[in-house]
Amino acid sequence: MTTFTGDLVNIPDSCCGAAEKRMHDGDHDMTIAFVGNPSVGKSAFFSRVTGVGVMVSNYPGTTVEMTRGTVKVGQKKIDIVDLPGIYSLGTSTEDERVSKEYLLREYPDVIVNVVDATRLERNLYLTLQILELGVPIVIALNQLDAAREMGIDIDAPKLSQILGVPVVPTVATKGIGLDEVLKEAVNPSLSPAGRIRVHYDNHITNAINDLGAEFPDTASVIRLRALENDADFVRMCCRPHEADLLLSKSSEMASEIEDAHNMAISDTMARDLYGEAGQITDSVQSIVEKDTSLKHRIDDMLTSEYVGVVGLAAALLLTFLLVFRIGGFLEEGIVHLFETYLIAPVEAELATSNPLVRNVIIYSLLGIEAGFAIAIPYIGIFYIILSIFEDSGYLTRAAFLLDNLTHRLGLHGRAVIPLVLGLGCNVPAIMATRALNTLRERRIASVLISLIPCSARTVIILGLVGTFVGYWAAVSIYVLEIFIIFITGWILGRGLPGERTGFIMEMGPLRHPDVVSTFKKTWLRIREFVYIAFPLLIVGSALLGGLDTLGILDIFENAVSPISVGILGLPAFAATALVFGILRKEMALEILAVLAGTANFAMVLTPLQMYVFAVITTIYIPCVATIAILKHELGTRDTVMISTFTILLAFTVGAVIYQIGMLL
Amino acid sequence: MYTERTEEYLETIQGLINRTSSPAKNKDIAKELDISPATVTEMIQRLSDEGLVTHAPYRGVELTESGIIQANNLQRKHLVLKNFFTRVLDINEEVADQEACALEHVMSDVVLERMCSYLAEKGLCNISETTLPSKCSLSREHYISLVEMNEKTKGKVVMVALPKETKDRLTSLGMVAGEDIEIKRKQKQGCISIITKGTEIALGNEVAEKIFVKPAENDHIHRRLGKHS
Repeated sequence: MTTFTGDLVNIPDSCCGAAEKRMHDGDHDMTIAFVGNPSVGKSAFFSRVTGVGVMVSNYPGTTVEMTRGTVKVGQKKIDIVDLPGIYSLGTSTEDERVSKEYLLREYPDVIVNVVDATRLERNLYLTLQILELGVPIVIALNQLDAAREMGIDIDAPKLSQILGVPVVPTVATKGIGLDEVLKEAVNPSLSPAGRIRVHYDNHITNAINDLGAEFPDTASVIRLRALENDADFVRMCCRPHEADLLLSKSSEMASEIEDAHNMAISDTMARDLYGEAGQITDSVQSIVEKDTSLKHRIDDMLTSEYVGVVGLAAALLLTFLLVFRIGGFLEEGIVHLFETYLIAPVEAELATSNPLVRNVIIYSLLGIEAGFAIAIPYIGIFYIILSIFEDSGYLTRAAFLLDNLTHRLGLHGRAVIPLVLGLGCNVPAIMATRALNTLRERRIASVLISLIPCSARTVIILGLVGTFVGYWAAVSIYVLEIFIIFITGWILGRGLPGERTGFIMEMGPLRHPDVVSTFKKTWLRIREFVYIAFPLLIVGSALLGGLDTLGILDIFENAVSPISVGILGLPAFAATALVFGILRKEMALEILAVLAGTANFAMVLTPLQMYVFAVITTIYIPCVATIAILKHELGTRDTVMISTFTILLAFTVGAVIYQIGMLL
Repeated sequence: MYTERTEEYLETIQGLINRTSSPAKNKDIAKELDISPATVTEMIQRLSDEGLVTHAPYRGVELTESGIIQANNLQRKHLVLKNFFTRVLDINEEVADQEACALEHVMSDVVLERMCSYLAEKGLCNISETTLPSKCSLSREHYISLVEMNEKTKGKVVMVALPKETKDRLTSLGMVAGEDIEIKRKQKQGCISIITKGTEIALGNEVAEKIFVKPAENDHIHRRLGKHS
């Protein structure tokens, strides 16, 4: 998850000598880290500067791990690090911890603090905290276009003068001001000297000084955090012994101060920080009220009681209808092209050659055809729609709307975001659960995500059942899935022990999804799909061709036929397809096409068989990639349990449907 | 705090019934305690669930037998305390009343009986002469929980009664005590979203419940009937 490499982590001799330089790995001349609140545009910035494709969306928690890229400025080769957004240096969820850990353990040479101009005061809270770190900082005053739209004007030179660090106005999504930021960042005269100091309450200032006399090696930021009893922070950057001493000494002082103020020390500090932030904001910002009532009305409607829920259901139905219609249309065309211009001529060509060679070649070609014809149209269309959901800010509205419902699943509304992402691909969705607060919530969400029909499973549901049985039959599979997910979540929510936390989430403003970035993001995802899926598909199909010729497939299919044919009523060759489906879910269908020798499934399967096949592939065992990420995030035990549970569930449900279907 | 509040209500209701010789009206209770009628409605529902009062629409609130016992007991405590303060400790009547208002809720029966017998020994125990307690007002009721606020109303955060971690998170998002906020969205029994420092933050019911707000003038309070019981 984190990309810390051992040699970069230098254990400081002293307790966080703030000015200490980190060791360079030799490849780069300097390291710049992007730090800022969630949803301020760090990733857009990073992507523009480095050309490394990263996901950019409109909800907090898009980036859950750090990403590195390299850029050359003049003669210097610079390592750029994009960090998950944080609201403060205080408490954090797991994704935010990555940022905190990076800042404290692996000093970047320069921090680029990306600040959202539309909410300057709140953003300055973090800025004032990281200014205390003693690392050179450049501030990118981002989203100036959005601020202007809202009638907010900020005097950047004045802000720079007050804070004592360079402030560059930027619009990251359009690439405005980014070069200037980098130029400032590599400027050798950039130093932590001469910057603003927050005026803390006298008691706190005195305590910091007293602690300084006793622990001369500590940076003032450490002493501040120690006073606030942020043990996590202090331990992260001090040696254990020193950390304990510092913490016990400061907790004594803290309780004295708390008695004097009759209020928690963290409240006092927050008051002072916000006081400062508010003062700065007032002196650099001017607001002209603008009429944004239409946008607000739409926004209000999205979360209103009836329109909101109906709208959400309609949006999902429409999504699948679009994926089905457009995907199906594209599929037909592509199949036709492949059959006419590739498969048929090659088959004719190879009619007289060695059967093993012929099978391996034909099967590989069928695999490629299936990949292009079945997977890409559906997945591509789906991702375009998903990214519109992500970029518009609708996901946070959906989370708000569904908080009540998710509570019954032992989750709160924030979990809706990873769950919806799961409709795209389970892997990033499970990673996105890092933004949830507790392990308990992450476990529940991960189990539910692995049951969510991802785009690959959508390919099977729509491509097989939707096309050959009917659209509403396909929809009924989703309804069945939702039902299963709900029951599972309900049981887990009751049964799983652990802490429950409240739902707190920032809701960014609605934005127009940008056409270019939508296609960019879709392309990024499709490319990843092609890189991972196609080699597997081609090798798998070729292997299949070989095994078939050698008669091994028959042996396997006969061995499992009591279950596959007897209990589930599937044709014998479907068992092989199911095995390949573990590699990638949509491969189950692709291999089915290869084995059937045609993508026109109506010729080889009854509607009931198609339905059962689709239901089983949707539920049974997460694909290899999901298993790997589950193991990484939750450990082996949970992964084995989830896999076993889903296999049993799939076959039970499949058998029941077959039995009912036979009766009808 | 709950028992204390319960007792304040019983006391007030009894006072009103004695004065008017008819069931107490919610409106009057609200006026007497200087709190919103919605809060009273909710509290009466709870008291009624606990079997301390009966409540008939359009008629008013009456005390049940156990409600009367509890109210009388409380009144006795108040009078004994007041007696003790004025006569033994020589404290002026107004202050004695105020102190008694606060202490009556926490004093145990053991102390009450000892105090009473002490007063009797000294011949100072003439409870019947003492006047009824003046209004024991609930000054803290000036603020209400965030969940009781209406959509599109404004207020000032007074107190955040949440665990440190949750509170810190709210702080870093810009929601601190003393901050002016506006309710942007509100769902029935669900989430609420507020605007603070130009940022919209969604809060679950379980979080919003523990945030206390002083509503801005002219803002009406949302009616929440018997949600807590």
